[in-house]
Amino acid sequence: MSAPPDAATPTTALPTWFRLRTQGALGTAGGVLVTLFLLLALTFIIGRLLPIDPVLSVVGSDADQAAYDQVRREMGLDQPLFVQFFVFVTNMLTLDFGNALLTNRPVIDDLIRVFPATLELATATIIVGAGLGVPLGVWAAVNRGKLADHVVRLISLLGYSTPIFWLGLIGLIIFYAKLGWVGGSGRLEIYYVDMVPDVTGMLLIDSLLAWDMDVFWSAFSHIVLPASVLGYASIAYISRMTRSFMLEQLGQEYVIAARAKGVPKRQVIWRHAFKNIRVQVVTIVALSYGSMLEGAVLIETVFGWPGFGQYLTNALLIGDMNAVVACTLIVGCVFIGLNLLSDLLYRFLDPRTR
Amino acid sequence: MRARLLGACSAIAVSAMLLTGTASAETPPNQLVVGMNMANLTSLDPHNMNSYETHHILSNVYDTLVRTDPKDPKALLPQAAESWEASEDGTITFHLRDDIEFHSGNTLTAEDVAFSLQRAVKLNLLGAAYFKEWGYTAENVDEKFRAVDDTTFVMDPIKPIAPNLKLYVLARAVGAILDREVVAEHEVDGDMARGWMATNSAGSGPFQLARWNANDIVLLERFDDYWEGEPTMRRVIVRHIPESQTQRLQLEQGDLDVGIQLSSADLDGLAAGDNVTVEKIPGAGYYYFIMSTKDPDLAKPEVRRALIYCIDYEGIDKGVMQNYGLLADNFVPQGVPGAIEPLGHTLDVERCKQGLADAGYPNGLRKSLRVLTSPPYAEIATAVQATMAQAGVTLDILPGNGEQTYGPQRNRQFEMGIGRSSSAVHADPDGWLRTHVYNPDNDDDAGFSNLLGWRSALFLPEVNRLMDEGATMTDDAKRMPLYQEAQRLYEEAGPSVVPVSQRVDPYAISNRVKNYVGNPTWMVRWNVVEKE
Repeated sequence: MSAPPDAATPTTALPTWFRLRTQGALGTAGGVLVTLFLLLALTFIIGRLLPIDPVLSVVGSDADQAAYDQVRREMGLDQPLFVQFFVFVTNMLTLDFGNALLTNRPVIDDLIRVFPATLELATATIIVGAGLGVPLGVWAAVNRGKLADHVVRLISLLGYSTPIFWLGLIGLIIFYAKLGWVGGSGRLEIYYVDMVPDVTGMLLIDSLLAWDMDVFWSAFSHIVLPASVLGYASIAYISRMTRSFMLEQLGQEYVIAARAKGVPKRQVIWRHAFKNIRVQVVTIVALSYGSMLEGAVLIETVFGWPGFGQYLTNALLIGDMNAVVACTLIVGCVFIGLNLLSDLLYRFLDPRTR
Repeated sequence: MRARLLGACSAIAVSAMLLTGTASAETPPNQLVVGMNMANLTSLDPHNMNSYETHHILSNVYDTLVRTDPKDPKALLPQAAESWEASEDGTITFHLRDDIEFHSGNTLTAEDVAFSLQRAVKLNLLGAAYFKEWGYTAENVDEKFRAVDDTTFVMDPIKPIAPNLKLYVLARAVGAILDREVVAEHEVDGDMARGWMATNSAGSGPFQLARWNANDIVLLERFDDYWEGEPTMRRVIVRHIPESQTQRLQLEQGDLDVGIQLSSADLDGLAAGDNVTVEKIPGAGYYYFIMSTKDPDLAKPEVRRALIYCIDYEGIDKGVMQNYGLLADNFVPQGVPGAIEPLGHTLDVERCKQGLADAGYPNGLRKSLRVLTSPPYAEIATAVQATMAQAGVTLDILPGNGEQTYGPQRNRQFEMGIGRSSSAVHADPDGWLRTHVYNPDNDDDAGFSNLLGWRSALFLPEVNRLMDEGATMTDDAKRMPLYQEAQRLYEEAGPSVVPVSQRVDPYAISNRVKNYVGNPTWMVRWNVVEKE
């Protein structure tokens, strides 16, 4: 049996692994696009169902009908729903998120302003949360049932059960009002506003780039408390998860074998057992980080932190659908991005997935 | 182990030292820092705003023709206009100063004034309401608002209107004078620069708008060439601090000079301290109880008259309104010309019961009451609910957001509600009564959703006639009796809108700040503020 002459198409000329790869990548990209479209449609529908009248948010409750009608027309809200949705999707395809209701400025400009503030806070938080949560979890697992384990359990129970805004306020009262160790609300002492050029939108980095240490310390003293309070909540979660992953490994036979061989305890814990839970730890840290990037609304409110969470909440409260949809898309993209990133890390960390 | 402990301790000590080095200092002596919740700061276009917060910003960025004396809202003072005279038929002629410069360097002339007021009408947004009441339309303003020469501006009347009514409105942010050349530069598709003006300014006031980030910060920079002299403060920084508790901490620490919109508990806490003073400015509006006369039971005047006595005004004033309002029982505050004797609204459950029984409701009523969830509205509603229950009136409270509370009122589809009004003219009974009582056309499609009288669907032709006549007179001695008569008639007719408390606008201010004068018309000026 000879192959038909037309079988030598370019595709078969390509190596099989390449074809599989592109198919895989295309499948992933398709999945991402479908997810984002469904997210859009859902946000649009929910936005129209909410009992919030964006027109009233703009004109106020004391406006007469003429002004009300005029603004409603300008917003295009007098058009039929499917027309509104069509206009909305075509704008999205050209990456035009429209203008914010409040300021009449492009939503994208607002996002460029608020997202770095949240990115900075979330990154500081996850450094605190993972940097302390993972070792604490390992420590608790190794000392299972001993005092250390109970201490860690108490720490995380408190972190789980204390309302975060309350913790934030108490922190402000103690460390800012009573002791004066940290800055108060906002990202900077007010007189440092506009002192360093805005490069990344992240003040710690911008002030270092400009080498203005006064601004840097001011920014640092303002981020310490919110990052610690938020970090405390994520320590609770990360340490509990790490502890249970670790316990599972410590009960395995290879650990006992290694100890019997005379490998030092520390080496067994970190080289053998911890190495095997890295993948799971990466997943939960990535998820924590993702939820931080959505913006921590309560903490941003308590600390007057002009971030993504506050922006989204305010947009929701006044029914500014352009802003809400743009924010939803960003949150969607963040999670999809983090998922892809964890997948890549798995391949790197776990030889079985290759 | 010990070494590690030592290391940890020293690390903590070092970081503590670093942090103490950066601990909060006091605000700089040449910058004023104001904290507020900016949720209501929705546009900086003087012709498309009416919130308390926005007035504070705009009154510092723009000049108006005249201003009202903060200590005495009846007194009109010159600002851009050095002098003005009103003729018998209601024409007002303004004589402008010739030394006023806009931030752009252009000179302010009567052309700019004419352009600004024409724009207010033509945009047909929030700023147009008063002008429309006086008969001005997009078609007639071009000829009625006239620049005679560079320093003379004339406002011709459409119908005779008491000149002071117009002057009081022109003294607020809607009367801001815009730099017409700058506005023209930013016009897009004939929008009269509406898009640009929402976040930028074209004024001649003591401060220039450097930046506004919604729900974050407003930066105002000193305008060195301001005609009244260089402002004392180099910058005014307004920060969005949504959490009242945080505002209070910042005030106590000296990181904030002025706090606007603190909660009642925080105001009491601050007032008890030494470094901060709490000021309460009687404001331009009322907390009111409203009944829709479209409801067949509430359409009966006897029922409405009875229900007035089911509200514990004194109790609400003492228990809830300490930092929010002043006891009031009429829509024209005592002390304003044209106010009448107190109406004697008080809690009298027996009288209320009897009145309802006489009206044919011996077993009481059941109605829904729409109210905002925030303080003090929710507290007022529960107090009203409790006293009404004593007279057999069951109220189902429907708590909600602004849309759910005011939306049905604006569409005239509600039974009862609690709300807060705002009125632009303080020193004259006309503005107060127009907001709360006046209803020129009781048709559902008339679209007077800004008037509480129309919302409650109570149509009293005689009251309207007295008010219309009063507005067209120029002699106060003849006008005031008409408004007094209108108030008495309204009371006799069984009011559909009942005042519970006159609004108060409290703010907390650091004792380092001098010459900060609160203003009942919200047009606070920061250019003379000084700090120790």
